[in-house]
Amino acid sequence: MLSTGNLLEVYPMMEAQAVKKEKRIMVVEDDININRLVSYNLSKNGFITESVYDGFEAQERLSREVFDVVVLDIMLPSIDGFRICKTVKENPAAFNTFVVILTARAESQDMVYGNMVGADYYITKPFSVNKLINIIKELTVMRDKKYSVLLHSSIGRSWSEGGN
Amino acid sequence: MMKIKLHWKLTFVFCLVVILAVSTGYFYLDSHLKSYIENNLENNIKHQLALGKDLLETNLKDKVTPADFQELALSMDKALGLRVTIIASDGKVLGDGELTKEHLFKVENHAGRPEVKDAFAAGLGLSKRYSYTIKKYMLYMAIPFAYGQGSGVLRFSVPLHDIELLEAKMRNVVAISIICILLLSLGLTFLASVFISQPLTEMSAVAEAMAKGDFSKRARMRSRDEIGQLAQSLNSMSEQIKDKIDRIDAERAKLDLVLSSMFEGVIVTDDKERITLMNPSLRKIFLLDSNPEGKKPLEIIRNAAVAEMVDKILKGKQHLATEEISVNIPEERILRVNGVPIMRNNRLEGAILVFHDITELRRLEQIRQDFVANVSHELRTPISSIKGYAETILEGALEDKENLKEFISIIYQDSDRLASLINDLLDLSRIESGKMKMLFMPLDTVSVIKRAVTVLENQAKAKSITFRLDIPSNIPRIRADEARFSQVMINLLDNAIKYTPENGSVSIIASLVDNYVQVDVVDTGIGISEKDLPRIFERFYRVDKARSRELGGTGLGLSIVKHIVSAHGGRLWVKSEPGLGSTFSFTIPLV
Repeated sequence: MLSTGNLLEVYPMMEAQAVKKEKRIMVVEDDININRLVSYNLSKNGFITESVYDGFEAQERLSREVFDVVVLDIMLPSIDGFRICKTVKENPAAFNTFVVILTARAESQDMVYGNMVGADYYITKPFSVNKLINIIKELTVMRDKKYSVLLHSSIGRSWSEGGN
Repeated sequence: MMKIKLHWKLTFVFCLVVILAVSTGYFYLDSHLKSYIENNLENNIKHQLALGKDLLETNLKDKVTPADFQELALSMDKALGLRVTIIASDGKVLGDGELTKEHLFKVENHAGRPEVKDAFAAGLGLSKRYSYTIKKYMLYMAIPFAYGQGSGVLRFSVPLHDIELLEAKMRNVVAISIICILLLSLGLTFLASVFISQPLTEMSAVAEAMAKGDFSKRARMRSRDEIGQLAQSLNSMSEQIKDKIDRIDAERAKLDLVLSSMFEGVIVTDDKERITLMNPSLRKIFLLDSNPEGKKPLEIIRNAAVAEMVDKILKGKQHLATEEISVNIPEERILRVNGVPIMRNNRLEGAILVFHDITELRRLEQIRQDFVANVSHELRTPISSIKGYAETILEGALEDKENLKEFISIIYQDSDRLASLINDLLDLSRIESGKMKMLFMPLDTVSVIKRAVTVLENQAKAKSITFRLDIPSNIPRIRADEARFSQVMINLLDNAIKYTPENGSVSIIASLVDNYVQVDVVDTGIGISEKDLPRIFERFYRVDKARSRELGGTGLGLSIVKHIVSAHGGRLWVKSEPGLGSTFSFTIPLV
């Protein structure tokens, strides 16, 4: 769990994101056609997308940048999706990042494993583009709601009082 | 303890018997000899006395002077060799063969002598006593006689000393003969006992050899008696034992052979959990070099599950136990352990543990599972793409003139990919299940390669890649299925073209190696790194996934090629230098 100290440290970043209208989404998928498919549909729906085709590259960028949602394939070159998901979820700076796993691995143990590493959604291929978009939309709205609740919590208040 | 040989014992017993017999005889003889001689003597004297009496009575008819008595006594003495005395009825000595006339008168009266008294009283007198006259032990015998006007006694006397001499002489003879008999029988006894004990000694040696495991010796049959029968029994026993031992040895050897040729490891323990037997496979599995007999299974297989299993079996709680264990010696191995109790006559005598190394089985299972997962992934990806783009177009991209055409071409590409994937999967499964029918025919090597090259000429031309063919015109024919051989050639050439940059070259070199034609496909392409090289023929293994996808590869091509080549009885391998190019080589047998 995040400590208060960490929360305060990352707070300015959260504020910056809250202010920003467009959500940034990283699409990690080594199949060019599917990556393009997801990216095309997300940008059509007003998201800003970043296409990454390699596990290592994704890991690198996610440790430096914060995204609202990561659409993550599992079978990736160099580093697999589960490990990327785990590092994202363990990164305090990315506590607000949702991970949607989009994979051809449809076995139940993989789904369980996805849950274990903290993925927020597990979608198996072949998938419906519409459903994917709806899930991502829902997640970002929910994140906004959670964010507002946090603002009115005791920690949030003490911070805003201090600011006054 | 001193070992006394049998023949000595026998000799001793025989000697004892002989000595006893001879000495009994001797004492018997000794005790009867004296009386016999005496009796004999007495009888002789008695007869001589009777004769003397007759002689005396005849001679005394007319002569009756004392001088006549003396003369008669002297002549009789001389004739008989005895002391002859003639005594008158009043006891006066009338004549004596041993005395002179002068002496005769000095001789005392003999009336009181017991023999004289007896002679008068009973007709015959006998007495043995010391004679003071001649100072010797004497035998006296007397008989009464009658003449003209009177009567008297005729007495013969013999010194007993003579009898004793005779007796001693006799005794000597007996003693010497007894000693001779003794010595003779001793020798005979020794020979006899040696003769009796010899076969026994021999049999004992045979029995001893048998005890030491040498069954080649046989006891000699010398006779048909009990000893001969014993020898015969011993020989047949030896044969039977040898037969049984041979059979046991054969069984043992068979068991050893079974155990040592078994792939599974076997441990046998007694009821105290101590190992009594272990086969070479088990030693190999657990890398044991010391002798584990007498140890407990836990000491050599450091696994709690196995120890618990043995414990349960030996406590009679379990009749068939199965456990899967994982051991690290030195790399991980998975073993399936089956344990059963050894029961004999309803008694628990130990346990048998059988270790199957199922590492390879598990690995193959894993490969199969991975393959299934891979197939699933490879199928789902193009379907996702097709479905997703179609959905996108339907959801409005129909109006997006900029992207529409491209989306449709992606759908087309991915359908194509799906189709070729399905074709490759079917090929692979047909080859692997042995259902692919191959028609092996003699093929002309030069023309069959050239036909395959023609198929790809346009593709090469498009990238300005030149084909170089180096095939000797006199190369022998190969035995192959033309369609499959072409598939191999096209696949390898297709790869070579795909991974070779523009203006490169691809060489096809055929040569004769032993009983095979070796075909090398040499490209000047990007090459394959050392770490990818060993895995290149694995199913769905791609060096560069994105590039492979882009080039329409399914990840199964080389795997299929490898299968086809080995179905022809050939071999496929690859050499590569990253940046310089790769050489794929394969062999196909000659007709």
